[in-house]
Amino acid sequence: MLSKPSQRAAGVVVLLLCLGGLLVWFGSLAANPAVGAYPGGDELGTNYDAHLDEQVVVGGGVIETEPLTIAVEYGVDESIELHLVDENTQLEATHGDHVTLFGTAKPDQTVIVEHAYAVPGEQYLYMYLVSFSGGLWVLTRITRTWRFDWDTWSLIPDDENSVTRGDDA
Amino acid sequence: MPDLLSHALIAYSLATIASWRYDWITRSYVTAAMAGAFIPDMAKAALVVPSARVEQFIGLPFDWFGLHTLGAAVCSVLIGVVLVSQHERRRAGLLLSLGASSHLLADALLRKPTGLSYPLLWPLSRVYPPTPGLYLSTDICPAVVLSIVTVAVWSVDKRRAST
Repeated sequence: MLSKPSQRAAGVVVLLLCLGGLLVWFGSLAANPAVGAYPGGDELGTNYDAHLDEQVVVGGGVIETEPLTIAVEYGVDESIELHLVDENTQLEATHGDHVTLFGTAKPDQTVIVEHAYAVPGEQYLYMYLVSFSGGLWVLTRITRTWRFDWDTWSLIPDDENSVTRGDDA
Repeated sequence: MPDLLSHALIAYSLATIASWRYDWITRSYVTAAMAGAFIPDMAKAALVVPSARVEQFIGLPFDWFGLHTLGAAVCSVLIGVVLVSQHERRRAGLLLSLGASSHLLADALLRKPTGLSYPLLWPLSRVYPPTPGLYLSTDICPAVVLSIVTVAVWSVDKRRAST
């Protein structure tokens, strides 16, 4: 089954279409707090007042500390500023931190915080760099341990070509 | 879990330990598990092309995060299965699945402000299960701990290979 190049290509196209369909379907899902899908930046940015007194989950960079204000990005290069009122969590955030929070939307783009945490901006840089190196490691290993066979148009293990197993973890 | 390196380290360690029991798990298959761990993070394409931009382009709702779910992981693993030669399919499918599921499970333990993780079983279920909140994606600790574990696994593996 699916052993000829044309069948293989058709199989991949069908699966890619399925994948695309799943992403469209996932994107069409509306917020549903009953399962844990609270309104987020996109919902608040598009129409904040429609979500007054609802519980929301948002994240954004701190642009002001008195009062604590974050800029939440949504849509295509748009952002909404939210003022955070934090009575319980003693959130300590400085300019440039990224705050993620769960709270209740109140008038005047003010959110009463229930749970929140702040992460310094540099930590994100760390995450991106480390993830990039992880990605490179995996890609290098793929090219070194698998090869494309032009006769069958398939990927086949290339263990003979590589050094003994586990040699370059 | 956190960063992609940690996910790759988990997949490497799990597949290498499995190779001690199953001889057919060669270096290539350990790589397959690591590639599987890569799958859910294809959702990070959103950093390059935001979902809203894709929506604008195709005129339909769209969310890259759908890639970070069971349904998309199964589809992606099947793409890998179709791409390898017929004799390798069962094995490649197993290792790709091992990697992808270790990623989804490790991410289900991430700290969230709601105390709920993410709909990992979608489209079977859209429920966000509770998370113990062990770490953040930006924490350094997981990569450090997992690097130590991986070095231990790697050295045991090397010793076994030389005997």
